[in-house]
Amino acid sequence: MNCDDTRTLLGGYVDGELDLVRSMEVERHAAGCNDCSGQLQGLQTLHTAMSSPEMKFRAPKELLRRIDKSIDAETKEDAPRSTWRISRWAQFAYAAALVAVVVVSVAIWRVALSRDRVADQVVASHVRSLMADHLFDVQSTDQHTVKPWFHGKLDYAPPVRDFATEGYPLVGGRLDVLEGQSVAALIYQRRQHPINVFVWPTSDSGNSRPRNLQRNGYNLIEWKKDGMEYWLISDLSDNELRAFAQMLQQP
Amino acid sequence: MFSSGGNRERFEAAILPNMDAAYNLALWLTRNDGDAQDVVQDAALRAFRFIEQFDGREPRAWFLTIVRNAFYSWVRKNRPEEVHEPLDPETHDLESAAPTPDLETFRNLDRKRLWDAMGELPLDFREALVLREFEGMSYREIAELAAVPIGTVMSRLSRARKQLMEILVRQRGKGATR
Repeated sequence: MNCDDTRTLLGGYVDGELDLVRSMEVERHAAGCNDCSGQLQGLQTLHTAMSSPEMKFRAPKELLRRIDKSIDAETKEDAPRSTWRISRWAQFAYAAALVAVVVVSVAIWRVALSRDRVADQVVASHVRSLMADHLFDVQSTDQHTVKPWFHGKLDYAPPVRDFATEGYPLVGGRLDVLEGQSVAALIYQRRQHPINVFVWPTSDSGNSRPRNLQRNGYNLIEWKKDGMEYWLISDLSDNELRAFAQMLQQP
Repeated sequence: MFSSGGNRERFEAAILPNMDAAYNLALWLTRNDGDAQDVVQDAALRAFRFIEQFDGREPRAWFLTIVRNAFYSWVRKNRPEEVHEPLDPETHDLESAAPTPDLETFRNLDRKRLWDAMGELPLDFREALVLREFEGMSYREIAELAAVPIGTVMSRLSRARKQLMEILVRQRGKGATR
C-alpha cells in the first residue's frame, strides 16, 4: 500500500471502521513511513482530545422547562371535544345494545391497557431516576438500613433483600410515584447496570407468572406474588435480568 | 384518551436521555445558546407529534435526526448564506501533503480553542465531527442520520479533520481568539 492509499484510510483506521486486513495494511505501511505515521499520530491525538467529555455541552435546565411547557400546551389543544347530536331514543338504543358486549371486552381490554400504561410509567420513572442524579433517596448496601428507611413514608413495608453474593448487590432505595401512588423503588446493580425494582401492594389475591417486556431498549419483567406487584427494569440483558427476577421470587 | 398519557411518557423516555446530545449538536451548529434552544425546542415538539410513529428502537438516532432536520429548517430561514453545496471531492485534493501535525497543540486542546476553530468549518464538516467525536457514532449511524452514503461520511470526516488541524495550527500561531 502506498502513501496515497494509506492517507485516505487513516481516518477510518483511527475510528475503528476498517476491516482487519486493511487495518493491518495501514499499520504495516505506517511502520515504515515517517510521513504517514506522523499523520496517523496527529489524527489519533486530535481524536483523543476531541472525544474528551469536557468538549460537550449540557442542556440548560431552562430548556427542559420550556419543552415541558410547550408539550403541555400541545396536549391541551389535543383534548377531544365531542359534539354529538343524536336523538335521545337513539342513545338509549345504542346503550342497551352495547352494554353486554362492552362490559366483557372492557374488562379484558383494561387489564392489558393498564399494564401497558404502567409499563410506560415504569420506563419514564427509570429514565428520570438515571437522568437527574436522582437514583437514591437512601444510598446503602445494607438491607437493614434501606428497609426501615421507608417506614412512615409508605403505608406498606417493601420486601428488601440483598443479593451481593449472587452478584446483584443492593445499592439503595428511593421513593417514586407510579399510577398516582407512592411506591418503593429498590436499586440493585449488576456490573455497571442499575436495576430499578418497583414494588407495591396489589389488591389481586392471586400470583401471576413473570411477564417479559421490552420498551425503548430496556428490559422489563413484572409479576405478582403474595400480595405485592413487582416491576423490574434495566438495560441489562434479558438473561441476566431473568436470573435476578428468579432470585427475587424465591421465598 | 389513554394514549395521550402514554404518548407523553413514551416521548419523555425517548427524549430526556438524549437532551444533552441534542443541545450539544444544536449548539455546535448554531454557535449560539438562544438559537440552539429554539432548534431543540422545535425538534422536541416535532418528536412529540411523531411519537406514535417511533418504533422504540435507537431513540438517540431518532431524536438527533429530528434535531438535525430542525436545525436545517432554522438555518435556511435565518442564515441561508451558511448553507451551501458541499465541496466537490474532486476539487479538494485530500492527498496533498497536510502540514506536519502539531501534536502538542492537539494534545492540549481546550474547548474554547476547539470552539473557535470549528467556527471556521462548513456545516457539513462540523456536523460530521460532532456526531463522530462527541457522540461516538459509527460511520453507518452518521450516514443514516444525515441521509448520505457512508463514502460521503468518510470523505467529509477526512477533509474536516485535515482542515481543522490546519486551522488549529494557524490559530495557535496567532494566539488569536474569536
